[in-house]
Amino acid sequence: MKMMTKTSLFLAVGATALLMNGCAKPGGAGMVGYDSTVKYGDAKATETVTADFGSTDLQSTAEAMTQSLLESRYIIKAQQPPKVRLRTVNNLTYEHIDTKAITDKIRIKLLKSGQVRFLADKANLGEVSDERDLTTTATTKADLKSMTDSDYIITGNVRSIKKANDTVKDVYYNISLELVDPQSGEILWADEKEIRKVTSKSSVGW
Amino acid sequence: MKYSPLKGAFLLSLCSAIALNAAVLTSSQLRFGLSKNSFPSTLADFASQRSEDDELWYWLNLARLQQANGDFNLSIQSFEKGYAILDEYENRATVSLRNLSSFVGSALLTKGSESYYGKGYERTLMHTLNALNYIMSGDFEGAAVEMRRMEQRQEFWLKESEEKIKKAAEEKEKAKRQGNEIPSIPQGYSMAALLEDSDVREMANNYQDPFSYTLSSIILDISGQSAASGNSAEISLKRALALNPNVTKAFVKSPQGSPASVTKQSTKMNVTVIVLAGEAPSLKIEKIRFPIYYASEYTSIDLPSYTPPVNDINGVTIMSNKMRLHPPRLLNTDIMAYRTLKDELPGELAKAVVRATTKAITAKQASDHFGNLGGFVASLVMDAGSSLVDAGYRNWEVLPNSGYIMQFETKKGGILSLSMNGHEESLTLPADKKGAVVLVSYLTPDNIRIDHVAY
Repeated sequence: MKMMTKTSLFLAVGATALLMNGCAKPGGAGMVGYDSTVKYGDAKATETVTADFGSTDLQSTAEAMTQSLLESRYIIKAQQPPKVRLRTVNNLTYEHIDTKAITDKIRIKLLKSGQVRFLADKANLGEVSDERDLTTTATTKADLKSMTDSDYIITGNVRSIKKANDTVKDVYYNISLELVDPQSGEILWADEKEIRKVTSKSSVGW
Repeated sequence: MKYSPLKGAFLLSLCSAIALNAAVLTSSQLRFGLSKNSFPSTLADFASQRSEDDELWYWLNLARLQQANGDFNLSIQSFEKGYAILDEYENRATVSLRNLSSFVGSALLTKGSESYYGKGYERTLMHTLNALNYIMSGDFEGAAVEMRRMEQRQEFWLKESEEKIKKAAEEKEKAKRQGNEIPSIPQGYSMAALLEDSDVREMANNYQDPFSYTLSSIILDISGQSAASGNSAEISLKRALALNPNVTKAFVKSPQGSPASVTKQSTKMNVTVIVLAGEAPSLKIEKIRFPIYYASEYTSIDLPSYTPPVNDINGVTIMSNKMRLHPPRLLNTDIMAYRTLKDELPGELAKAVVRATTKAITAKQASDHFGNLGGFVASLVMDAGSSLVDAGYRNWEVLPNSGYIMQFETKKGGILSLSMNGHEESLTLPADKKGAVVLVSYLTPDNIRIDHVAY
């Protein structure tokens, strides 16, 4: 009889656990409140928290692209640093990637090299123009021309391909940039950076 | 006093279910609290009730309420919370203990013990509706990302769906071998006629809709990404057309000699009107009860079922620059929901039969030990317990039931009027932009919101 009571109790708890299965926290990102401690980390350390485009990808892309661009003959053989404008880099991926972060990083690296001069990009041009209007009595067409005429423009795309099977998820990123002569439309330089990230599912887990 | 295992289990589950259900607005409180006067309190109550914030349906419902209130950034955040739940589900271990216990729970005890991770059409439409949030925030590139995610998400659903259909066929075959033929649709099931409707049967599949693909084509075109992504706008449009030939009616070119066509090009703009109306069918568990043995006990076949859509409209008329346009209905959420149910019914039925048998055996044992009254009480307790648990099994209840899209040229700065079920709403178009996207959220006849963004 005692045995019977124990079994009954076990069954009761088991059944409730099964019924309550829907109440289990799935542990999804972003909604679990947990105790945390804050500490500084190495900004250049490899980040592998998720397979999404991350800080390591941003840094390695900017590094590779800047190096390649600075070695191109249109920059290295220029008599004086050319004026360049960074245009939009299209995000053609499955993620909300801030492509401006990529172009900003490239611009900083190129400017630090001293081999390139940059014009304000389209988003900031209005603000630059407003500032000039405040400090000068009038902005002439010639002044405006010097603000807008660039020797080259840089444009590009970020693409990704995602594939998955039962155990493995593979994400491939391709970041391509082009240096274009805005007068002729000729593509003078182009390069790409490829990144592949693979995540594996565990065979057995919660 | 003798201790009954059944009573213990169901009393425990009863208390838990009561505690859980008391915390959040019920499905009907949510769906019938959308009129102009009650909408602000419904939204505030729902947003503050976080007891269900680990459920996909909670975030999807909240995201839609926020969108219909014009809180596009908050809506994006809520959709992202929903994605996180679904991503976690899709990336679980190959043998997941949670999936296993959920399967055993739903196979033996109640359907409501399963967590709801959305059906294919909901997983598609959550990205489509979130794309609208990005559009209304002026971020067409972000909207394009959502449309690409929409297609990506469908791959997992397809795999999951195929596995379910395969498993259902195996179960049916097994039951047949054991001499237990499972009927395709049980008698007394309220969805029986709807599932045999010609619109449901003729639908290409249960997860792809022409509304999403038409919108995708428009977004890719406006964002200027189509050429860079292999003419993706045209590919999306072809997919939409394959699903519904009426998609051609969504794009109106001004006929020669019409008031719009004689207007100079520089004074014309491209306008896209998107209307989302009504609330889609809401999920419930339907019990088909029948007596067993000496008729003092009973058991039930518990199947997923839907309550019909509410607050939907018959059509939309757009009036602009002396033109009268009738956008085609490209989103039929109810038909997609019914089609999903039709596809999944064999599997659901196989599980429902196992559950009914388990309950019948338990009732019989109670009857053997405690007499007819004991058997009846056992049936009643099991019925009440599972009903309470099943009440927590919910879907995206405020997902729009119909969607209309139309793109046309009209005069910059002109007046655009929309007529829906006798209600007329107007707005003035911007005078200095090349295009505008207008989003109409028709929640109830007295709660219509119009937002627009110019580009």
